[in-house]
Amino acid sequence: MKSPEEMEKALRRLVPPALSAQAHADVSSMIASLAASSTHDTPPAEITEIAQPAARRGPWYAAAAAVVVAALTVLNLPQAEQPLTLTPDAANPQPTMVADSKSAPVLIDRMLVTDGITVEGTLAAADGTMMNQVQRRVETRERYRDARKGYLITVSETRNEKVLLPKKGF
Amino acid sequence: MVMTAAENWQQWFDENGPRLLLFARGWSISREGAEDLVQETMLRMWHYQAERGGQPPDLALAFSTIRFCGLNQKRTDTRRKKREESIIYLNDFEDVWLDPALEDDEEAIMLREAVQRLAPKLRDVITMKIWGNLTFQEIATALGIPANTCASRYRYALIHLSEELQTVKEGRHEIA
Repeated sequence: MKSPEEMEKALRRLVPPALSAQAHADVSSMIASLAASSTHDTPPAEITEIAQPAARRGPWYAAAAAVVVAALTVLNLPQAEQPLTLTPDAANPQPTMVADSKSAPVLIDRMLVTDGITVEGTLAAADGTMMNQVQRRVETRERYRDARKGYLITVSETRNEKVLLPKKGF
Repeated sequence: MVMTAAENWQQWFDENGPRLLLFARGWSISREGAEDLVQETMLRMWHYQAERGGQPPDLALAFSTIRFCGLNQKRTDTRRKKREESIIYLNDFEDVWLDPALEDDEEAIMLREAVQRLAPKLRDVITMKIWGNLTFQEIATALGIPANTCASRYRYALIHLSEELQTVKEGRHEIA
């Protein structure tokens, strides 16, 4: 009878069988696809700020403004006689787009958002025209971009106004 | 030259695939089943290692994962066997665990057959120690048993194999 040491030597002479060619190919293919998918999932090491030309920013702002308008309009439908309006601030002309990454936050745009229009009553003017006295909420919204930190800062100021508007229908 | 993750894993698999298959063979009823176990193990280890740097695992972890997958497969096989009692599993005489091409002498053939007949508990330890080159401590971690138990099983398996080899040899001489 062989000793345990001799048995060990005898066993080590035996060689485990290789996988079949198909199984080996399957696993190799799996490794390749796993490696490929993990490469795609890897996030970039650093997020770099890319300055976009002003012309490319326009549609993005328009889309964002449209969403805001739509949301506020829906919220105020029951009491609003007139739809919300979004207009550039005429008193303060639009600033020029500036992308100076070294400076402080730069004003990108300024908008007037009007919503919450409520008709409080009808008045007759001295010349006989009928006027609606309406109360509305006006928001001045300014957006600044901090190019150095990549922040987009929105500053808004809301106020209630009472104005007279010509009555257009009965 | 820096190796990519795919190259790293491929090299590891080329080196250790046969060892994994040999161990997996003890946990599956067929060679094809064992190869499926190896593939499932590779997939599980990839995801496990992805959260730990993405390097190929050590062999002890691979054996442990095969054992885990094997236990799962065994449960499935048992349920399937109960459903398909009419199916008879035939022995595939080409399906040997240890490569017969390299060892054709009579003793090697007898030894291969003796290893195949070992109790699973003993066979796992022998496979991990002889062909996986693991320490008893690594085997203990992989199997979840004390290292002393591993060493005892290993010694007992060697003695058992030696005795069986002797018995088979004596039997053949008597016939001759």
